[in-house]
Amino acid sequence: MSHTRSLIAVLVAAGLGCGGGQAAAPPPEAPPPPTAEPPAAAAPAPAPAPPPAPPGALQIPVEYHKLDNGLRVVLSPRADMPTAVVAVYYHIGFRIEPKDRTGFAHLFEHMMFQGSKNLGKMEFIKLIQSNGGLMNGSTRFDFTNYFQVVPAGALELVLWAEADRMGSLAVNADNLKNQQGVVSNEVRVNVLNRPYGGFPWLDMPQLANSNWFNAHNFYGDLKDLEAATLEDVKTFFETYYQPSNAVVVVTGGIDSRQTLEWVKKHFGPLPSKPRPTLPDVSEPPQTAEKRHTKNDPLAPRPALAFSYHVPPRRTPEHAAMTVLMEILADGKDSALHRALVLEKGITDEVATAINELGNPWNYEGPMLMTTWLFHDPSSKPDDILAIVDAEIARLVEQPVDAATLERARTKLRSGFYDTVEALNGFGRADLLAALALFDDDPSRINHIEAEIAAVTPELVQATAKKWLARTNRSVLVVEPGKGAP
Amino acid sequence: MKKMIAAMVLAAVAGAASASERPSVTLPDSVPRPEMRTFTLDNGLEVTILPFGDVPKVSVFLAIDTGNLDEKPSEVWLADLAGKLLEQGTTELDAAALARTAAEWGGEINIGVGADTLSVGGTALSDRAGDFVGLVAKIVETPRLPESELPRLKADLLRQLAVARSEPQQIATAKLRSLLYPGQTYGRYFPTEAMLKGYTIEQVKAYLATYVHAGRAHLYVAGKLDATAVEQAAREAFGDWRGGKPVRARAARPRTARAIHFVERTGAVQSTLRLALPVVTPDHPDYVPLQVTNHLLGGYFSSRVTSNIREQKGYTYSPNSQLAARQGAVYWVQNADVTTNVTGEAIKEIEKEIARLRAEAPSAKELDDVKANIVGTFLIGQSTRQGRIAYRRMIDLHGLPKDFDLVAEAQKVTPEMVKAMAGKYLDPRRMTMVVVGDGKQVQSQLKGIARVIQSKPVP
Repeated sequence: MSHTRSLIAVLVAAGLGCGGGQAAAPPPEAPPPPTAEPPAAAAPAPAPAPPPAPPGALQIPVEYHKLDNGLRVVLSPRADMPTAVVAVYYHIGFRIEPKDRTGFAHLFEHMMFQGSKNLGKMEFIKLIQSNGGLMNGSTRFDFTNYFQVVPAGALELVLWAEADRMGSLAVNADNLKNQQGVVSNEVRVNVLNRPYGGFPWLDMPQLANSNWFNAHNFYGDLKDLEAATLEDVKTFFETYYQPSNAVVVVTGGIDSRQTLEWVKKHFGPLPSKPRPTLPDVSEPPQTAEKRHTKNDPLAPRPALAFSYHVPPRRTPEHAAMTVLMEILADGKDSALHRALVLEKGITDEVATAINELGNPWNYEGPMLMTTWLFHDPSSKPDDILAIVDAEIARLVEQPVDAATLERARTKLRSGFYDTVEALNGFGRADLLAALALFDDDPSRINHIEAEIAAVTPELVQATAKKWLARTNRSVLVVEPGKGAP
Repeated sequence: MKKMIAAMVLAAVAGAASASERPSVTLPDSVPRPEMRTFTLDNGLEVTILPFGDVPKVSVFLAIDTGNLDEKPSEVWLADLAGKLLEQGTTELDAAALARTAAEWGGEINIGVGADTLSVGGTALSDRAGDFVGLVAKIVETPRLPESELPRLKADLLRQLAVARSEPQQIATAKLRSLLYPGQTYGRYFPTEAMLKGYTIEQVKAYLATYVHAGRAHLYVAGKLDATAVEQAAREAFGDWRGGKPVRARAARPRTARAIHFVERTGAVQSTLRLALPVVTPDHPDYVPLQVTNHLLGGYFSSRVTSNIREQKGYTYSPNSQLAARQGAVYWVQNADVTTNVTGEAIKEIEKEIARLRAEAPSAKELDDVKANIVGTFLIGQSTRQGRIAYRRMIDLHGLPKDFDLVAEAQKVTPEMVKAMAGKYLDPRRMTMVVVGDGKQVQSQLKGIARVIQSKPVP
C-alpha cells in the first residue's frame, strides 16, 4: 500500500517528470568549524597527493579540455552504452542569490526551459522527449545543472540545443508569470501543504549557518518569488550563464573525438566574459550548540535532526568524516541504528547524509552532516541526544576497531559505485562536472576510492573528537501540531 | 512582474547565438535484446540472471507473489508486519549480525511489501553476489521471527500509519482505492490502529507459511556478474526451499461512477486531485495502445494535460497520469496538486483534454513523438540494473509472454487507435474523482462539474 515514507528530501528541481528530479539524500551544508581552518570556499587548500588507488578500484575514463572561451569540457566514453548523457553545469547555486530575491536561483533554472533563440517555449523539452530522451534541471548549493539522457544518435542535437540556450535566453513576461505559478506550487507541494515540509533539508542550513548566503530560505519566500522581474532574469543570465562559468560533460556510448568536434562547433562560437566574482560564503567557526524548535501543525509525530559542520573537501579529515558517517549513522549496521532502532525502539530508521541534496563530493562551500529521525512523543529529544552522545563518546575515546573501519570503508566504496551509476548513468556525469567546476580536476573521480581507503583508525578518532563536538552541533526539534491525531 | 508589457520578449543574447543548423538524429529502430539466463528449480522457484554493466555491483531481488492482496479484511498490513519481522534476522544471525554481514559485502537487506509483491533483496559488491543470494535465501527459509520484537515493530508501523494519514496524497489515494475496489483487498489501504495492535506472532507465522514459498517466488539478479557462478549459488541456496502452488490474483471487480468525492483538509493551500477509471490488465490487447494513449494525454512532460495546467496555466508543479497496475487490477489516474483557488478550473481543463482526445485523433507527429519517448525511455531504463529487473518483473507479474516487446508493440499504435482507446476507456460519465482540500474555498468551485459527495478520510 505504498505507505513507505515519502519523507525523503526533495530536490529543488524543475520537476520535469522524469528520472532526474528526485533527490536522493539528505541535508545542507556548512563550513569550517571551531578552529582556524582556511575557509572552505573557492579553492580549498592544496590537497595532499592522492594515495594510490586500491586494487580493483573503478577507473573511469576522463578526457578534459578547455575551449578558448573558457568552457570546460569533460568526456567519458563507455563502450557498452546505447545512450549518451549530456550535463551542463553553471557555477551558480542557491547560496548566491540576491538578498531581496530568495529562491531566485531556482526560479531562474525554470526560466531556462522557457525559450532560447532557436527554441520557443516547450520546444526544448519536446525536442528531447520526442527523441526518446529524459531531461531535468536542478538547483543546489553551489551549482545549477541541466542534463539529458538520450539515445546516442541524438547527441549532436542535444549539444546544439544546450548551446542555443547557453548563448541566448528568449523569454517574456507571460513565461515568467507562468513559472512563478509553477514554482509557487512546487513550494506548496514540497513544503507548505505537507507534514515535515522542509525538514530537515531546508530548515537546517538556516539554523546551523550564520553567513546569510548559507542561512537563507533557498526555496524562497513566496513574496520574493512574486517580486521577480524580467530585468532580474536578464541580469542573472548575463552574469552567470556564460561559457567561462560552465562545464559541459558528455558520457556514455560516444566517440570522444567526434563529440569534442561537436562541442567545439556548437559551443565554441559563444563569446564569454571573465568568471563572475563570487561572494564570501565561508562560515565563522561555531562555538556553542544551537537549538531550535519548530512547531509543525501538519505533523502527527515529533521528529529530530542534528547537524555538524564537516571538514573542508579534499582533506584527509573529510574522507574520515565520510567514514564516521558510515560508522555512526548510515545503514542498518550503524551504531545509531543499533542503539536507537534495535535496542531502544525509538525509531524505525535513522537517516543521515553529508550534503542532503547530493553526495559528499558534489558541492563546494561549507557543508553539514545531518542525521534525522521520526519518533513518538514518549521519547524526548534530550534522551535521544544522550544516546547519540554516548555513541559518539566511544568514537572519541578510542580508535575504531579494524573490522568496523573496514566495514565502513566497504560501504562507502559500494555507495560510491551507486553514486556513479545513479539516474541512468547520470551520476558519473554529475561527479565529473562538479569536480571540474569546483576543482578544475575531474580525474579526481578516480582518487575518491583511494582517499577512503587511506583513512586510519587514528584519523577517525581525531576527526570525531574535533568535528563531532557538541559545540559544532545544531539541533532541530519538530513538535507535532495540536490537532494531530 | 506587474510593470512590464506582457508580450515583450527578453532577448538576453550574450552575442551571436550558435548559428549552426539544427543537427539531425539517428534513432534505433529496434532495441537490442539484453543478455538473460533463466531457469526453474524443482521446487518451482524461477530465476532470472541479467549480466550487465561496468560497475562492480549487483542487485538481487526475490519477488514473491503475495503482499497485501492476501490479507483478510481484518488483517490489513499484516503482510507489512511480516516483512518487518523478516528483517529481524535468521536462526543463525540476529538483526544486528545480519546487517553487519550484508554491510561487509557492501550491501544492505531491504524488504518491501506492496499490494501484490513481497520482496527481499538489496545490492552488494559483485564479488559477493553469490554470498548475498545465499543471505536472501536464509531470510526466507530460516527466519528468526522473534516475538519479543513485536511491540517495537508495531509501534513503528503505528508511527508510519500516522504519518501516511497526514499526507494529502496518501489520503487521496486511500479514498480512491476504497471507491474503486469496495470490499476488496486492493480497496483496503490503511489498517485501523486497533487492528495493528492486535496482531500476534501466530498470525504472522501463518501468513508466511501460507504465502511465502518457492512456488510463488522469482529471483532476479542483475549487474556485473558471472552468470554461471550466480546460477550455482542460487541452486545451492534455494534448492531446499519449501515449494508450493503458484497463485495468481483473481481479477478485481472494480466499480466506478461519475462523482467528486470531497475529503476535507481545512487550511490546505493546495487541493490534491485524483481523476480515475478502471481499465484492462496488461495481458489484454488494448493495454499497450492504452499505455500510449495515457502517455500522450498526461504521462510525460510534453503531454497535453501537463502542457495545459502546468506550462500554460501554472496551476500545479508535478501533474502526471498513469496506469496504476497491480496483479489483476489496473486503473488509469490523473494526479495533481493544484493551487486551492483554481481547483475547479484545473478539473475542467483536465476534462477538456480528455474530451478532445475522445473527439479527435492526434496528429501522426504528436503520436510519433510519444512513441519515440517511450522507446527512448525504455532504452534508458534498460541501462540500469534496477530498470532491467523491473521490466522482467512486470512481464512475470502480469503473466505476459516471455518475449513481450514493449517497443515493438508501441510502434503498432495508430492515431485512430489512440482516439478509440480514449473513447473506450476514458469515459467521463463513469469517472471517479477525489478532491482533498479546504472545503470553504473549494466546494463552490466544484458546483456544476459533477455530483459532490462529502466523504470522510479512510479510517
